[in-house]
Amino acid sequence: MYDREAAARLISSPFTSNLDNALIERELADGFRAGIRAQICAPGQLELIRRVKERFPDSKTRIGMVVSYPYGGMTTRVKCELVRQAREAGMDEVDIAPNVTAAASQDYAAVEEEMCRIIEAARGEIRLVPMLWMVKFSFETVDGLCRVYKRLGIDSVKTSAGIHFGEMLVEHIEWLHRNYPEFCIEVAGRTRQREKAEAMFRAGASFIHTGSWRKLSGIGTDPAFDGATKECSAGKFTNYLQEAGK
Amino acid sequence: MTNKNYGRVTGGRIMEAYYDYPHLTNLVYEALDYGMESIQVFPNQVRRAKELLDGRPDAPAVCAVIAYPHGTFLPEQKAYEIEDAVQEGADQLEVVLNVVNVRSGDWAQVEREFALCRQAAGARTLKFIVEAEYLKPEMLKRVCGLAAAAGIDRLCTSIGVYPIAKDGAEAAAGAEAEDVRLMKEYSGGKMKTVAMGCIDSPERFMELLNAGADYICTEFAAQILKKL
Repeated sequence: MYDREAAARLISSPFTSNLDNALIERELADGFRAGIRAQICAPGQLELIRRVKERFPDSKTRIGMVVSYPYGGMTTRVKCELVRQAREAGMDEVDIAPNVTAAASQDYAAVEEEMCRIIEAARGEIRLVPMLWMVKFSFETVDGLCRVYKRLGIDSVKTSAGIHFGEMLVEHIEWLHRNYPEFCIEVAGRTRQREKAEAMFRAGASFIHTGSWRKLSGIGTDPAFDGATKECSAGKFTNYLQEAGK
Repeated sequence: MTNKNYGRVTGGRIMEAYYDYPHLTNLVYEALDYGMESIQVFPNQVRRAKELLDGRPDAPAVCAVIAYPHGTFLPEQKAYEIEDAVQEGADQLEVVLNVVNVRSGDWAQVEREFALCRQAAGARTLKFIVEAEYLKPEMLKRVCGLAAAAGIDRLCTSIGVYPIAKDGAEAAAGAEAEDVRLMKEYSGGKMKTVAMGCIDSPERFMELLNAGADYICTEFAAQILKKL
């Protein structure tokens, strides 16, 4: 896979607490410039992401927002309100977490009822990408969630969240793709090496959501926070051809 | 001090993807058994927790987490979520601060966030998680000063779910005794300090209490109180 092809299949979401607004704006601009698949913002960043996107009118990078990410612990009313705000702000997609307590209890009726109301709030104008929490849930629970999403006509799923210590495995994707080949699979959860990313794609993943998009694309280094100094370094592009010629 | 006495300064919490309804029931009964001050739950579990407590006079306060676990929301969005949680029956609100604003030096927006959330919470206990692990001492000092001026009741140290790189290794960032000491000092007695994040043993519990924490909130509250 060429580096540019890899970049076009990566999704970034620069909103963690170790960043500041200048770094976030720079991250977003670099993502649009590199043509990554999508950039997903937090609810408080809608205006920022739209403003930065306007600077790159030819970029194919999609924009989206997270809703109740990653635990889905907000009430249905708040989730629907945030979906409305994302829709009105012109987002292409929303990454949304189901009610995890209901899902863990295998109360799929509650999950489905909530998801129906969220679909209504989206009005068909914004793509919904619900989470499966594969690194925490049993395959039985993941299967239950997939059945709900499939029944509701949802065609894309996000496997997990990357902030935890849970690590997505290629075997997770093989299982998901084998049982639900109709889903567009967005992998999230500690895919930080190119080799593993390519194995994920071969197993059926469509896109990878990662904080390491430059590293995975082979085009540089990503922001890194140092807990000792409490400083965060900026991401950088690397011109390997130029470096090799030095 | 008995474990009931320690219970009065302890909050139990369940904030993970794999906790089901029986875990919530269990938390409620553990809190009653040990006389815990509060329990922290997702907003969509507040009503269930209140129903389980059924108006008992010895019931712990039910605290809803807001903008959890990342606080990158607008103040208006947080105020909306607080109002919603209050409608669900929350006695306390625990909001994750928009730390990006702090790290950006956007103090006007930090002040607005405190003010709007204070207004939305009314007389209910309002806490902010400041994620001290991402803040330099001067940032933490200013946050404490603005929070105290806005009438925030308690500041919590950490969330405890994000890994952080320190000394070449990656580990979950949680409450540190030094952060508790600094927050106590910077609060000038106007707010209570809550140690939170990765507190998983009686030793850690006591270390943070001895550092000056007024409350300890942890997923392992019952196990710790049982051993004290």
